Amino acid sequence: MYSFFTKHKLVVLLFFISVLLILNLSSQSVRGKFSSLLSPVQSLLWRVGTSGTEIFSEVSKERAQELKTENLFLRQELLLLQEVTKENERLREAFDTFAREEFDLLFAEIIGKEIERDVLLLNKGARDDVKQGMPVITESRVVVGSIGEVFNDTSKVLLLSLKDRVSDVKVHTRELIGVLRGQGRYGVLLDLIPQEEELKKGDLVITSALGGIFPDNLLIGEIRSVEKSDLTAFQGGKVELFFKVGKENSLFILTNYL
Amino acid sequence: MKKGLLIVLAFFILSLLQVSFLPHFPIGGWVINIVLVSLILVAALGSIKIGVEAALAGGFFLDIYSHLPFGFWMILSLALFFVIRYIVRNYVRFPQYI
Repeated sequence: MYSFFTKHKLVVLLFFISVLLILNLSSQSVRGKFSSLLSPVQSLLWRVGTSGTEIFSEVSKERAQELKTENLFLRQELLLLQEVTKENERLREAFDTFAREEFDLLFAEIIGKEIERDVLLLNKGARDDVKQGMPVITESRVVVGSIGEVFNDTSKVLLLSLKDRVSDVKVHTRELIGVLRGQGRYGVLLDLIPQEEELKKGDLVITSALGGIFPDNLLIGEIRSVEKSDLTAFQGGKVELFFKVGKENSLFILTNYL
Repeated sequence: MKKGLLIVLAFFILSLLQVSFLPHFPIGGWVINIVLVSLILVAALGSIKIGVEAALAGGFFLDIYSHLPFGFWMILSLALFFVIRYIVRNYVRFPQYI
């Protein structure tokens, strides 16, 4: 068998190239079928990984997770209350237009992560009416990203930190609108905030409905450092995302916001 | 043949771990690619036949979970295998003890 390969190198090469061509022509279905076939095993492995990360944590894992979720919930609540107060003060008669939307949430489990990019694989796909562009959030309403590629039974979430991804955001309490630039490897930078505005470490970064991708006022992260220079027209800073890949097993897809 | 199947199975398991388990343990945002690391070990220690099988199997499974065109990881793995093998054969001497 092996001698056949060494004797007929050209035939083997041609065979290899044609296999690659066929695979590329049907790459969507090959990848979709593989991921749907393996999603139960992958889901299990993902859960094991999440438990593994908890072993290294010092605080009681369940308690820490509870507190984190509660904290994010409270921050989200506070955010909503502050928004409502502000809206009431400014435009009482227009309150109806700002009424909080209730989202239709579709539960999905994380089954893996792409090797090269900040993209997660979910176990819900076209069969569950998942469509490209749908926003994805966590249990505590923290934004994760939006749906990219959709297969029959699985789909991919493009994280906010995906390299070169740009999302419209707001800096809470300061009424500042800017953009969040994905840097890859879970890093994001806030940008396009005018120099004359004041940015502070710890400021909350939330979603803006400007881009039409995410609903307004969902938590994203907080500013870790401010980068300001007299040579540039805008300032920005590093943002730490609230969503941590290794800490979540499941996510929610907003199916009525497209 | 049996060895080949075992290699395919091993790289299949490694690629599943790579995609669904290792992302929980990034080091400075980087996740170690155990498929490529295993391939380097095979290139250093195994025969050419086993190495090519491992490179093709590992590359194929990495391609499944990649957004890049099919063949990217397969060709990269093959190239890596031959480069490592060349380096190990020509520039590396393992100490021999009696």
